Amino acid sequence: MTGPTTEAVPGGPDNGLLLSGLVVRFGGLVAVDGVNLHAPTGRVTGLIGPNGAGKTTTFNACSGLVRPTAGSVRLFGQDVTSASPPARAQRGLGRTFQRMELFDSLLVRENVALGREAGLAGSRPWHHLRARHADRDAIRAATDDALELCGITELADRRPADLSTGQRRLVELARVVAGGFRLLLLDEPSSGLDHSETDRFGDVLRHLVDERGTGLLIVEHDMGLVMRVCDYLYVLDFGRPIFDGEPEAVVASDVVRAAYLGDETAEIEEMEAGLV
Amino acid sequence: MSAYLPFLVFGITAGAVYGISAMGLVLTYKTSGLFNFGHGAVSAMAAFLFYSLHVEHGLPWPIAALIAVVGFGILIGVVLERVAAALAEVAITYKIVGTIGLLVGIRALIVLIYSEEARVFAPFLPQAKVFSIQGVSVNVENLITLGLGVAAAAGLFVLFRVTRLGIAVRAVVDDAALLDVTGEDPTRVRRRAWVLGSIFAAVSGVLFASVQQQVQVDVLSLLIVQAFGAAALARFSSLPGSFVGGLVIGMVQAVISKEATRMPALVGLDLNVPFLVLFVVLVVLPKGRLVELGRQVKARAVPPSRVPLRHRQVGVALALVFALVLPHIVGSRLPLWNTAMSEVVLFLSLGLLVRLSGQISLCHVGFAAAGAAAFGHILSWGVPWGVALLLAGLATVPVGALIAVPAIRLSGLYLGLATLGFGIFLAQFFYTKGYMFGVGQQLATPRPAGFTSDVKYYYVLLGLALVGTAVVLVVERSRLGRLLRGLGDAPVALSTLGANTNVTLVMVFCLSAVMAGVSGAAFAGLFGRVGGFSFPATQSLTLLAVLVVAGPRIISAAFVAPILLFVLPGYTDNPDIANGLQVAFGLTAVIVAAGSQGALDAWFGRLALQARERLVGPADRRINRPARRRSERAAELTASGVGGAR
Repeated sequence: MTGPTTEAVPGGPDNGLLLSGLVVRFGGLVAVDGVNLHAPTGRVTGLIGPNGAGKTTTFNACSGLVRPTAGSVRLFGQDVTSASPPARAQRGLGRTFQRMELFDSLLVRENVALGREAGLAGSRPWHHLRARHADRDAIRAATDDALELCGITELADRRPADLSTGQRRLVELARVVAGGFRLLLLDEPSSGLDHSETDRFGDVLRHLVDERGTGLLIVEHDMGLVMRVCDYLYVLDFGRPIFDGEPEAVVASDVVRAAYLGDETAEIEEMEAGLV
Repeated sequence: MSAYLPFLVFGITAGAVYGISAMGLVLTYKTSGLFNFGHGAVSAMAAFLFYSLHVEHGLPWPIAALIAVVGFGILIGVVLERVAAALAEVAITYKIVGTIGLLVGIRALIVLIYSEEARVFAPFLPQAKVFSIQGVSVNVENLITLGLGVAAAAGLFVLFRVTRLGIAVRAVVDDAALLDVTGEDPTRVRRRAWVLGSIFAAVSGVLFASVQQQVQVDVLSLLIVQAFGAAALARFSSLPGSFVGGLVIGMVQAVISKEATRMPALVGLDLNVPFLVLFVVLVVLPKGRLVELGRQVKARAVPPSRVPLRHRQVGVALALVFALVLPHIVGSRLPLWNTAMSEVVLFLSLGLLVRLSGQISLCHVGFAAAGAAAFGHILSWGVPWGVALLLAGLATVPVGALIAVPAIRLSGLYLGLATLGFGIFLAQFFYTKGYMFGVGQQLATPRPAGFTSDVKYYYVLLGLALVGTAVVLVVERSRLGRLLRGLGDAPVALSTLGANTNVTLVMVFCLSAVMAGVSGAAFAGLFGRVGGFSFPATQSLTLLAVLVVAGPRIISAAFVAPILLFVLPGYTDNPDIANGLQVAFGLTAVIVAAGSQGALDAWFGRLALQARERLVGPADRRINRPARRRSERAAELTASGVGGAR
């Protein structure tokens, strides 16, 4: 059983997202079984594991879409275990989805702007109705900046439905970037992307962390990307945490090899290739 | 206890009929994922057919029953399976609209053939007393009805557990493609389920007519909503549970109608038990226990208009000019146009919910009724007309907020059913109360002073419609509009971005209710006095269907829909033509719903391609491979020396 490594992290356990003893049960199925994890700001934390390991369920418990059976979720020092998804977002937690959840009837620009506007609307009816003048410029600036960073400025007036998968992933990323979240959960951001798109994605992620100090927690199958961008990795298997450490240590770990062995040895090779 | 017995015997008999209907409904829902709002219309059609054969043509009842139940059941079941297949891959709003189209179309067909009038229908099953409990006699009819229901429930239970068909039916729900691989044709399995479901609908229709001792199209079509309540008790999934649910509803109704003889406050509540049950079950049942069946399809986003802006501006200007001169060119038909104009705001408010925010409301007429009633009361206090209109809208806010409660918990089909239950309950229980539309259903709702003539009131209504349009335009372009679109497209994503979507939902339901309330008040002003009969709850179903048929754009649809609903049928004085229009409308609703994800575009595209091929010859054989004939291909292969015996 590995504990969350909080000592070495600047700001300690109150910085970022901290899961302690997280358990999620669906009827008789234990999807997540005692996960401890720390995803601080200024670092890319990876969450990997074979299919069905409980990665997306862990994400859903982090963002409040699934209620944990046991354990706690803390966000920047506050217990948010029973907080709603919007309440968590208000505290600085953003996320993307494995199956992209874009607003198809809005333009790309509006999609990205809504990343910021949704948070400003929050729970206050009056703020749902219209934007304050002071906010308008901030929204526009955040939108332009996010579009620019993700390299999709020229797509701003298109509709998401007309875009390729890779472009749609970038729109979803730009939306959470515009939201100004301090911590982002990215669920398989590179699935459906080609090599050059994945590279571009990796650059954007590194920029977010290195230049803006955002914290990232990534679930990812592309081991090349994982090894290139992640600073720290947690490995799950059948809902249980089996290892955590720096990418080099993970690749060297016998436990991880055993978990991936058989059907997914190729992934170990990919990991090693990614490290070079 | 003995005082309750006669009521209970009646209640159990009626409950068995509800149960049989509910089993048919749940069976088809389970196998195809399509919840058939037209189930009751199938029952009605069968009952009329039976009436025709047995009463009008003098056939012995067993033969008439065989034709009306089995013959008709098989025929309509086969047709319905095709409709269900066409609606399998569309968004839930369109599935609902498609089956509402069935309801409207079949109902109109019945009216076309048999008229709307109720006809006395003497019980055909033997009425001989079999035994009596404490002086209350139980006759053969009671026993046959209950026995049929019990046998059907037990039969279905066994069918599902034991037989190959039963297992195939369960498999088709879980994974039709996988079933296909095993060599069992999913379409055939579904067809059998629809045939069986339709036979159940037919049986319940004939028996219900016998219990009611009359055949009347709306009474029979409404049997479906009684079945909804029974099915809700079984969580829309258990077949024997649906039958038990029917019995429970029948018995509770019986007890309440007994109690109502002592407590006047309960009068009318017995009729409402099914709707109340439907609403309460959906609001109370844990979310995880209500699983929506069938493929969940996201509605296609409305593409931006291809018509150039300049042309659109000219079009709007022309429409405005037409609207301004309209009272002077339509002559005596103006009242029709006035009715239509008063409903524009109602359709705008429904569009806000359905088109902008991806919600469903099947109780919109209830909002309008609440607004109209409030309007009458506020006017009676001497409040100026315009202010009263606004206050009437505001008075509807609590009703909207109340409906937002199920909307927070439910979506799609179950939201639709909950709102329908609420709307019918509102109509049947509250409309009749003195505090709503006054004693004798005569609440005075005069037109504003100086605008009492039809022509002048038309301009008041036009002004209201334009103000409503402006409100929608402002909302669409505001933050609220973006949030609502976000809510419709990806509600989970919106909430993880920090917007409390419950607040968004309550706001849109309240806004929609205000507009519907204002529209109801303006509608009431047409007649000078108003009662609950002007707001039939089932019209909410038609409203949704007409809105969807009128097109995907909120504002243009809000003007086109009332014209389709009121003006078009009003221009003919021949009731047969009006009913024919309704049949055509029902069919159109089915087609529009089936084509909502672009199936029609693809079909027309293929037709165009084929036509082109006929005219100018094949474009490129390799692209149109499926269109080629097998013989053609064989010839080609032989010529190239690849295949064929030499």
